[in-house]
Amino acid sequence: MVCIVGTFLFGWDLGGQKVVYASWRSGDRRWPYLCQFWVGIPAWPALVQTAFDQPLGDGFMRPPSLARTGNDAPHELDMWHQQYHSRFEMGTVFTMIAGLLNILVIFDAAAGPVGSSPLSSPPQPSGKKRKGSRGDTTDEDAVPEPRGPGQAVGEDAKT
Amino acid sequence: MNDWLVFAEVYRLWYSLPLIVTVSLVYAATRHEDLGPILKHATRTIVWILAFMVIVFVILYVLSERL
Repeated sequence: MVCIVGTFLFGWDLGGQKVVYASWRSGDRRWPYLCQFWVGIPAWPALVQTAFDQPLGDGFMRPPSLARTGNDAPHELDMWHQQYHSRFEMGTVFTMIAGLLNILVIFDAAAGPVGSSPLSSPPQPSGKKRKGSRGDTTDEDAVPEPRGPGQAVGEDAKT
Repeated sequence: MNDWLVFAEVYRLWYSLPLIVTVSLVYAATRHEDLGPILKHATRTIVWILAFMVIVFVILYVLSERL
């Protein structure tokens, strides 16, 4: 969590605190927000700002205005790029990666570490406890498999 | 003189270091539960990413020299 939120905040500040916003207007489809969204609550105010025509508060995570004062005049997004140049893109990348990493963490929280033994694996016949990354089971949890008519105890391990 | 201008842009590469460390740590944490294996896996991942970046750099450098 420290790594992900730290990366998100670092990228957010690197881009002048303007790189996280949601916009789906023609001329400014903010694809990076699809990745930033998965950071969670820190990125969700951008959705609230998009829902209103006028920016709330001091414009925290608001989308830029695309209105131009003249034909060749730059709009606000152009000004942001001009002001923060490469740091705007770098901050966008940082916040995007933070969101994508959080998807990994969500899967980890939901299904456990990748490669761990599943809980429904067959019990081992030895008297030792079966060690897993999560969900350690004891012999009390083990359910013996049905044996064939001539199969002796201890032959499970061989088959 | 222009060759030296390349090194003026190298400072941006430092931005990749926190990213590499973060990605490695989080990825390792999704594969293990204990701190020891997480740090070992993360270290291995950092080396792999850096090696991959160096390989890509060498390829691009060689290609750019031939242009």
